[in-house]
Amino acid sequence: MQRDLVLRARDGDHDAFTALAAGAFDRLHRTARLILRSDDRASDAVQEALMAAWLHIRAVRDPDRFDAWLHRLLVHACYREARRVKHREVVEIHVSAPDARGEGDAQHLTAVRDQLERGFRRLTPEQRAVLVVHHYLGLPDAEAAIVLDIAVGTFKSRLHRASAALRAALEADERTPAVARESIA
Amino acid sequence: MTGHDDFDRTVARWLEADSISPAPAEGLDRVLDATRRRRPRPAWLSGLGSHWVGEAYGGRSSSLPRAGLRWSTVIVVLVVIAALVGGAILVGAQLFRPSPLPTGHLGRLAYVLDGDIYLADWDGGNPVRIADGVPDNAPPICGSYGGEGSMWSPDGRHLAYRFGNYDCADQTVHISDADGHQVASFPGNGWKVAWSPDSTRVATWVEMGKTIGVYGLDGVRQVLVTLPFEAMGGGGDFDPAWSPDGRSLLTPYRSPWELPVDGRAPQPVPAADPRSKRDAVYSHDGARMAFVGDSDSVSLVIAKADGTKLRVLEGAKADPVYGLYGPGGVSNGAMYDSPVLSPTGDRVAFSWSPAVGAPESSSEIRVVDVATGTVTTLSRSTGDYPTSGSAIRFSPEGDRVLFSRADASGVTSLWSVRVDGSDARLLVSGADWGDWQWQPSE
Repeated sequence: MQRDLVLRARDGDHDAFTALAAGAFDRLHRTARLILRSDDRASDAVQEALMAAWLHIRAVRDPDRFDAWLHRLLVHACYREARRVKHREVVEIHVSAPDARGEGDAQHLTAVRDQLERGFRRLTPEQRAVLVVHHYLGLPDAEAAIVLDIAVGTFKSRLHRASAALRAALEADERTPAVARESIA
Repeated sequence: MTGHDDFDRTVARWLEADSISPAPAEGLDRVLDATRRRRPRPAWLSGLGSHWVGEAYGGRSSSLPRAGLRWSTVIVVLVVIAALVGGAILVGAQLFRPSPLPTGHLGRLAYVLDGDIYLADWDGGNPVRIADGVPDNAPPICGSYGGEGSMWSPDGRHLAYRFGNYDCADQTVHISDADGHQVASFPGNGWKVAWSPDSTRVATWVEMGKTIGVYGLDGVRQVLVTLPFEAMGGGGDFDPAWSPDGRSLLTPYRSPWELPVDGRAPQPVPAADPRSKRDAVYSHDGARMAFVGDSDSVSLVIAKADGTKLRVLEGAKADPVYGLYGPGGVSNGAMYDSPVLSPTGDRVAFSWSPAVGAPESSSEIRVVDVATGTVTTLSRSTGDYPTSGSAIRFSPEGDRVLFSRADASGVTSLWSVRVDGSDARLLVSGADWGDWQWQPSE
């Protein structure tokens, strides 16, 4: 079904492309939001990726790999978006009181979520993308490497490094006073 | 979140939970409306590095520069460029007189294959396994040996490699003599093992992103360097490296700090300092360096050790609005990676790839003659698994290059080729990392 849509879109059928875009939009947006940590920026990235996909749909040689190609365009759009706003970024972080942990499961989970949020923000967009492609999209290594435009070995290495960086960021977060967290980009 | 599995599950669950809010539907309508007004480009125009890269769409078009040059302007610019290039060649020929070759000759090849470490002749012949592990990702997890960066010490007398693959919380570093007999081992995390310039010490993360151990060849830790609080945190991404004088460690490049091993106080490395640059490498005599600029462009820069630029190979430039990637997900030019200086500093080998994000990937191993600027392509890969080029090494004589490349199915192999592109040889099929020994002349 999707293969047929890709072939039709490649021939210039905008309705087929509309169906492809509609089917992928939600997942693309969620992926971009996870990488960019912003709804607005995710919207910009997804629009840019879909526009690029339409403009270059005729360059797709293997219709069965359309999804990977589309996600690759999205990842690069996210990189670009992250760099574009890098110097004027306003970070919104919800700070939990350090002593909130341990008072109850719900509070603890909230604290863990907040900590992950802060730790994730400390990573580079490239590191976030590796983690999102692996943990959220759940792609096998070879497919993830295609999406990220890197070799499989490089993907494995980067995944481990991104995990290590997130661990380090979380550990640094534990040492950082709550007041100071508010200014962490 | 102590164990790897727990940590991974926690991250996966959090990402899933964090993504539940629906995407705004109007965004889809907007982009479909925009695409309806455009027609797909011909396939040939979507090729790598084509001229549409800087073209904008939608509301941002006014932000991008327009290509509206007159022919007369183009001709004048070309004449000026030709004059500059000619002058640069003449000046460059004076600047880049090769320094004497280091004493030594090509020794053995150390490589990683299926989780084992091997020693072989320089061309892969007569292999001997010196460390027996299991393939990466095969059970038992954490049973493989691996190597990255310079496995051989600069003097070629010792070899360093790791036990424990990417998924292992606690890795160990192993030092062997030139025949593969282990002489020391100690805990150490990370990827590359950093050999000191004088070949007497190695540096490795003890605790990723926090502490670095400096070990002697006897496996005894001589120094434990604790990163300043400001340098901790997101710095677990890169391994420490030695400064050319062997008095300090540098880590990591995105938030670089100089960490003396002789008791002096750590200090941040200014962004303008060439030691802070990505992939900074030095010639054998420490007089020249090469690095990849990644702030306003991804250019390959060859410079004196003080950072004075001697030659720049232009790469992708950052657009003031879009950064390195233009609309369409394609970078605004070529990307450079993994530069390596020849022993005399007169050549630089590197990994090159065209604009990133185009429908087809490709990658090349290239070498540039620093004096003339002549670039020679040594290897080209296309498909889904382009050449990684991460194991680039020169022979001590500077006449051959060792490199890794992947075939269409993603299997990596070690190759060697003369610097003029001739005599390409497959050394080890299936190996994903290798390093040539620079054997001392005695």
